[in-house]
Amino acid sequence: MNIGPQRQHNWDWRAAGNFIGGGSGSGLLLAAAVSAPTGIDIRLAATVALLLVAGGLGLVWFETGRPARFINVFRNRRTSWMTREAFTALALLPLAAATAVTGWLPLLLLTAAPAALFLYTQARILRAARGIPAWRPAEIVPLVVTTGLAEGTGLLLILLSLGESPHPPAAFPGTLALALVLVRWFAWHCYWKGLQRGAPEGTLRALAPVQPLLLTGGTLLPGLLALLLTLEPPAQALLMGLAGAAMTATGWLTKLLIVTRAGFNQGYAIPIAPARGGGRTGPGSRPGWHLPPGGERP
Amino acid sequence: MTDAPPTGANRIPTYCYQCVAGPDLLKVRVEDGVATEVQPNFDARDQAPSGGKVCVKAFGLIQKLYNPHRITTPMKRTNPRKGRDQDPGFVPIDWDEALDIIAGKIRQIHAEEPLDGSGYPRIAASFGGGGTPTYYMGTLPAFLGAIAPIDFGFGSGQGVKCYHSEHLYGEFWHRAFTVAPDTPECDYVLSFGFNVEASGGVCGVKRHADARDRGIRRVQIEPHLSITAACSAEWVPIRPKTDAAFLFALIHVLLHEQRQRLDLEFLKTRTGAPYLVAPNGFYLRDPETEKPLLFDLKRKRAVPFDTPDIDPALEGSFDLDGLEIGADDDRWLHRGARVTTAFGKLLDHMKPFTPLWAGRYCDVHHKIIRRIALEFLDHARVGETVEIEGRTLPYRPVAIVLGKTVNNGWGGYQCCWARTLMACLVGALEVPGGTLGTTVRLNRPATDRNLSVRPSPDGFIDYPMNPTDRDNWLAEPDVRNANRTLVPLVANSPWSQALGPTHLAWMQQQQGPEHWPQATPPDLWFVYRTNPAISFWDTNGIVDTIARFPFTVCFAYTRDETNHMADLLLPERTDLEGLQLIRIGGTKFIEQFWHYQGFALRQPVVEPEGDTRDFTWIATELARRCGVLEKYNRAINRGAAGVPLRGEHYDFSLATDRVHDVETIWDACCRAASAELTDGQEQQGLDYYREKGFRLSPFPRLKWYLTATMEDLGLRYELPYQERLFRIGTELGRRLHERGISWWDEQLEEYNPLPAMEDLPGIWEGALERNFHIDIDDYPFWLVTSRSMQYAWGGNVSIQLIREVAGNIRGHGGLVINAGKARELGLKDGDRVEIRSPLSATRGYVVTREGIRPDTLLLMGQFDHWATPLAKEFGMPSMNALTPMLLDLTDASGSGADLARVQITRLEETP
Amino acid sequence: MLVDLNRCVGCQTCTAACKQTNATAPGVQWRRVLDMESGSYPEVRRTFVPVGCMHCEDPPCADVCPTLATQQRDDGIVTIDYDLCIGCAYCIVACPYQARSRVDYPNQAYPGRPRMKHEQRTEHFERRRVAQKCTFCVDRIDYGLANGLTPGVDPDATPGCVNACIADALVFGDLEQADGRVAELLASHHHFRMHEELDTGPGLYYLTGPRS
Repeated sequence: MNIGPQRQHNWDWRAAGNFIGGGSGSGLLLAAAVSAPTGIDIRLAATVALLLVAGGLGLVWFETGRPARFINVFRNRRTSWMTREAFTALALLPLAAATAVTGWLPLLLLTAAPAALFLYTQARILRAARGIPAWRPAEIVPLVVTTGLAEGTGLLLILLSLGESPHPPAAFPGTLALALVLVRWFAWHCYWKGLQRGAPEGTLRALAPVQPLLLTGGTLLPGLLALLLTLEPPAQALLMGLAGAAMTATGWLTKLLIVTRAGFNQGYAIPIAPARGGGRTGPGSRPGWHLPPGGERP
Repeated sequence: MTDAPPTGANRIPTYCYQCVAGPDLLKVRVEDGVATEVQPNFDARDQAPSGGKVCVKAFGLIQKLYNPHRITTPMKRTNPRKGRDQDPGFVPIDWDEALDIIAGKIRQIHAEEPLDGSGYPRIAASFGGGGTPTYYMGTLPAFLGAIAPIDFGFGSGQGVKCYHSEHLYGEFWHRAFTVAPDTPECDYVLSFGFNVEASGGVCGVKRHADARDRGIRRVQIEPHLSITAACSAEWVPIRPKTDAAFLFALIHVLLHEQRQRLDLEFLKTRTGAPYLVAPNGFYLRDPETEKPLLFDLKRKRAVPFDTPDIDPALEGSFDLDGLEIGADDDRWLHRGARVTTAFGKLLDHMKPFTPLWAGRYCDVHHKIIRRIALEFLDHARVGETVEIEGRTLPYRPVAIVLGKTVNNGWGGYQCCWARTLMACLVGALEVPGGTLGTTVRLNRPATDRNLSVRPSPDGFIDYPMNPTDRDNWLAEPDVRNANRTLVPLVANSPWSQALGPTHLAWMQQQQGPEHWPQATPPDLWFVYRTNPAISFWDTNGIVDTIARFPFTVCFAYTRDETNHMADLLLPERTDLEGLQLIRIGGTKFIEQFWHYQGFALRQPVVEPEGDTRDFTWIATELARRCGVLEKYNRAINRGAAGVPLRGEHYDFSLATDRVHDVETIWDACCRAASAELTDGQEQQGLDYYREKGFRLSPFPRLKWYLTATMEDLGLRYELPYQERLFRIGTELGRRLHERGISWWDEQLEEYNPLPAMEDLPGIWEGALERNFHIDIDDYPFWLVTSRSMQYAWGGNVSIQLIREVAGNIRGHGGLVINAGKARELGLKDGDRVEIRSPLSATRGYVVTREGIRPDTLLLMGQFDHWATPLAKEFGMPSMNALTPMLLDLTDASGSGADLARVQITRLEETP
Repeated sequence: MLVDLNRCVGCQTCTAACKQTNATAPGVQWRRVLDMESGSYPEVRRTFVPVGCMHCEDPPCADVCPTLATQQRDDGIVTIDYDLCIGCAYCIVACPYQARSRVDYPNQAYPGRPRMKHEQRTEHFERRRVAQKCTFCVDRIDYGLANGLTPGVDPDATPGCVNACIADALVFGDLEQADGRVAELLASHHHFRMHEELDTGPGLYYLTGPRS
């Protein structure tokens, strides 16, 4: 029997799919809303976002043991972020659908509100999972939110690059992208630094590849490209597509790893070994944890 | 809310006796005829030392009952070829056919000659579990008695996996077939590998937990951090098989550094310490009475040991006249011979064994050894007394216990002697708080060890040695393990066969020694609740041997490795299905000393599964079909079912010429039991016990302490000097040499009056090098084993529940190795390795632990199954396949130690 | 509940008793005892640590449960309503004690063989594909209180693991009762709660030795 932290298997790639779809979808809606004046295809953006959010929710619905009882998910709005996510989805999905059908900008702007909320509830879902040291840090919230926004913006860049115009408006999305990858990097950096102060070794091992990946593929590369985009260079669509893909893919991979591979549980620990009979107490044990010398962080 | 508690409305009392640390009382919840849950029997909360609880093994009984892998009808082998690679081709038959086959064999054997050409019984029987199968086999003992002679000497662990030396020497010195601390009073325990938290049963676990609450200091000395070491105040990782050196050093400190603090009074009056030893090593005796002499400081002369009002000298040498009687009545009449007290001899003998010497040898710092010796002495409270039931006894809350391997094979004698001597030095033997015996098996009556104490002419406890004199020595062994021929100490009780050199019976099936009757396989072999193909040594060799036995009858629960070779399988009616009354309480094995004694009933809690039959029905039917019904019934009347049916004030004897049904037999037993407990006043029958489950009457605590009886009889413990053993050893040597037998000479050397210290690990190393022509350095690790509480003795390896919960205890998954050593070898958890001894090899997964010496490996329990359902999927190796049976590694008591030398090689790396 | 670590020997009797009392499926252990090592050779300690649902004062499982299937009763016991639970496993990842599990397979010890009689009686289909965990044998406690029995003292009102514990290492009772055995032991012994830093207020106290 293993005593140290074990990788949780209850939330698998399907749960990760919800965070990917939900984050990117709501991020896309938000990115589309703020970029709307630049003339993006609202219908297309809303459709893609709708598919992502609904797809993610669908995946997680299939992961539940008793999907037929899904209606019960709405019972605990007082404390459960999952209930809140569900309620938000109730607003988000029809609005997104309506936007997808109508392509009406005010509707898109209206949809942005539940989309932001949705993204936030997803971040809080992870934060509230106090059994998983990789999910519960406060820093997970800005990370999930910023990466959702970055992924959404990335998707927006991809959509723009796929548009009919060879020179889609790039300055604003480029600026937005640049800002978001930098903010996301900062959020990741805070999160990762936090984990260094105490986390299951397995978590750190699983997330170690994210650091260089997110730096190069998720920040520097798209950041550089985004910087270029603000200068409205030639082959703009290609650059946009590349930047968007890098932003999105790295975000997805990061969340996939956080939810699945890095999702180690707390494990067991004792701060002290008991005195046996006339003996003395002894040192405790926290197997499977990386802790800095002398320091311990929950 | 219902009226019935959630714990169930219908709970049926019964007992669990799956290990010798039982029995424990329990209840089984039954709902609509289905047993669903095992629960404690809190009706016995205040009387049973277990508090009415049962250990984890009992919780497996429900699955044991309904296990779909059970054998539920008699089966007959159809493939005449036997072997591991053969499909036995078992086919179901009915009971008539099965019993007729057996009865036919027995009738034929009796009609011809019950002994074969070598003088060995043609019928053999093997039962496992330290005698516990008896508590499940109903009246089968009465049947076996009726068809004697039977060879019970094919062991399945006896002698090599029991507390063997303790059984023999313990019973010899203080009627202690098993030894325990007086845990309820003890303050300081030195435990040399005694794994009480895994083997002491509920009673042991609870008592030691209570003792820990009191602040008992227990020091566990053993190569790995066992369950018991985990629960101890201190763990001392000692080099394997060097315990004797540690103990000798403790004695050295007490004798040569702290002599004036010892319990000199106890030594003078309650031991043989002041006896005078004459020049040839035997006691100096009064020529007229032949009584041993001691030197009275009051009279300034030698006087017989039982002279009143004396102050015997403990130390000193004297020039005295007297008679010395040696082996075979050799006599020397001395005039002015230089004689020394036994204690004086001891002082000289122990002089070299300093802590510094032992520390190097045991790989334990000498300061630790000295500290422990002093702690032992400090805790002994020499001089203090306590009142028990109106009688004042010494109060000495210190004890030493010995585990298996320490107690087995070479070194067992040294350790047992040293342990018992340590107790004597501080007066802590058989007194409150001290080292106690808890049961007798070689002496009678088995129900009360105090009553088994009878005086010897020399003032010690008499002992029923097997004769070694020319006229009476049993030159031709009567069973294949030659217990009475080779081991005088094993006595001649129903248990003695199991305590002979049981591996000798197996070894001879391969090759017998010189000048010895030709070993033969038994024509008919009964097997119940034992699996020697797994639980003995050289298991591959045992399987081959068993395959050559012509006709084997196994009472079978599931298929297993031994009954794979059977000719007939009789389905076992399991623990919760059979009917039997047993004796409980008083003082029994391990820590089972009670304030009560009485009887408990095992009863069917539900309708039995399949076409199984009650053991008593089987025994009765076999007796009828074999034509021994009268003898069988008479045996039951005498008490073969656990209680004599006739007493001073009552008679529930069964008519001997008739077949009695199961209920009638046990009803009579119940009535006799009630009558015995009430001196004939009451005679409740089966119905009473079915409802209540047990019946008890008080058992005086004073009976826990043999010293009270010793004082009453004016007897001494036969320590430190072993004149008697020296004499019988000399005689035995002469007898063997007279027949040209020299292969037992090393064993004969053990019969020293004061145990010699030897290079014990070196004995193993040398024997392996000699027998296997290897370089021992190629096998750098000692391989040891350790008890699994969840599995030991339970025959429960096919129970999924047990498998599951045992998995929570590390070590059940593979080969335990020191974590640092593993790193050094590039091994990590989960790597698959080959473990190779000079005899053979096996495979398993690496389990790294900090709590084990770097030179030692550990394989828990006994696994390596290949036929038993579920267990054959474990992939868990066992050291049994790796341990050879060698005469060189058999000590004088006929015992060998669970110890191997191995090398390991990585086969696959874990991903 | 108190766990006296000085008394526990890791025998797993509580584990087995719990499995039987609650008829949990193979591999599911609401109560179990860990075998932990600390230190390094030769200064090593081995400790047996019973774990299970801690019935936290501030149970994260109840906070996250979207269905209100997991609730905390007034007496502090955390319960699951199997009929409400959707099996989303959120509570499982929220619990820092690995006390919860979701099982999608039947209660059958020997797969591929006929189901045993007692398994047929205790199928517990309601527990399939939803979250499950230790209930502190709440039915016994409720029965006991309704019938004037004292939980932790009277076996019919005491959790199965506590009844079964052969070392008397598990002590059950009302923490609030000032003169009770639980309060007395807490006062007289050093103790800790597991992962106390996570502020869940776990309800299992581990005694490590007398205060003297």
